[in-house]
Amino acid sequence: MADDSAPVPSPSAPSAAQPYLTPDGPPRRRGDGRGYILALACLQAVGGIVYFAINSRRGSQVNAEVVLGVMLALSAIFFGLWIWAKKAPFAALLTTLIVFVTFHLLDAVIDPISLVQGIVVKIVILAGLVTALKKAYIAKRERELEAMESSPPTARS
Amino acid sequence: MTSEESGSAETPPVEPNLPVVGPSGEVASTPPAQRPTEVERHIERRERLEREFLEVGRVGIFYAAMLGPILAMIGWVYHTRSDPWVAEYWGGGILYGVIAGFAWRARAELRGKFVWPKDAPLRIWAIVALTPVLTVVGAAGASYIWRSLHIGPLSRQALYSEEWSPWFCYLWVAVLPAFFEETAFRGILFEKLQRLMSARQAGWVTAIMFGVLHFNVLGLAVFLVPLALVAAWLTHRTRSLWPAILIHFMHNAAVLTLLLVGGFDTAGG
Repeated sequence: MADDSAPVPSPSAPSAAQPYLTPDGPPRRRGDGRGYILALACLQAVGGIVYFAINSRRGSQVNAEVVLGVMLALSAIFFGLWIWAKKAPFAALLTTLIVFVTFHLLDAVIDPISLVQGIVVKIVILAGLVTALKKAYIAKRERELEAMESSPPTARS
Repeated sequence: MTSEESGSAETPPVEPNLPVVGPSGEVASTPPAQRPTEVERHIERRERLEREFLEVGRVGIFYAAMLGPILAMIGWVYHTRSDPWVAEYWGGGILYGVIAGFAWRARAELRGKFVWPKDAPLRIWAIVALTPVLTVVGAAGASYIWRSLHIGPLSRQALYSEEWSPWFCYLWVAVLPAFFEETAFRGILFEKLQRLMSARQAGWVTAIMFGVLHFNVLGLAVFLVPLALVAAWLTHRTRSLWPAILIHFMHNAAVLTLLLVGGFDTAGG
């Protein structure tokens, strides 16, 4: 017997079959990984500025300027990838992952201690990027397969 | 009107899991193939996509295999203050060995890529001739700006020490990188990525990988990525690696010549 006291879900409530609906209609894109790319861009820029502010006072300004330049360039690359991820999330996430891992490994080769500095943040970003990459690939391919199945056979050939 | 009413009721509907009986009474040896349900199709599709995604792992393994010798070389030079040219000699040798190993594994796919593009239009050869000129001008301009900012030494003059013959430098800096790097990036990676994304996206991803692996932030934006993008476009259009190898060789040879004659002090390639 049905429990009459149970709350009736509203028509706009999310479910596995129907995600959250925005007032405009289309579902919001959650967990597409763009946030991780933007976070990386911000972290690189802020990290570079902080490094420059600390080290320029110590007299080693030449080195600090180079580090600032490199970190701002990396930030610009990540920002560009964040914009690209709106159009091509899979390609942008793959590139972000490669750039992120490459420069952190380079950092670790130069200064091995740096690998464990901020290790939690690095692991969170790495795991998030890998998960988002897989999601982006499966979503892209499912869209392609659905489009292929819904198209007439003549168009497919 | 139902099928029974319209007279087609003489052929009873076939029930699943029952043997099919032919018109003369013989029994079919195999049961009829059942259409997969929606859930089964979904699971099958997911498994297929998971298998496809393994290609990303293969791309990652290849990239990591190339990154290893380069990082080892950088670390060795940084920590032991060794001669960078000796490090480049050994690191480059290991890197080319790694690329040759992967190329051997992918030899079936690469075979068609080493065919001279006889039918390529004149426009392609004009681009091949013009690209190294533009990238070298970009490299020289970046070098000039870098020096004028008085930021710090980025000189790679020390790489090309007088102990090494210029011909050996041309072989190690112009010929071998052009051949092996193009085989790796435009031959193997570009092909693998084209199975996962569009050709344009694959071109961009390989161009950024190519730029990043050179560890030259200035060169990455100024001439490495543009050079790689043009190389990817040429490979895609001509279905041959030779135009890309040619522009890479001309770029590296021009940069090396300028370095040997003291033309400028920042270079990639």
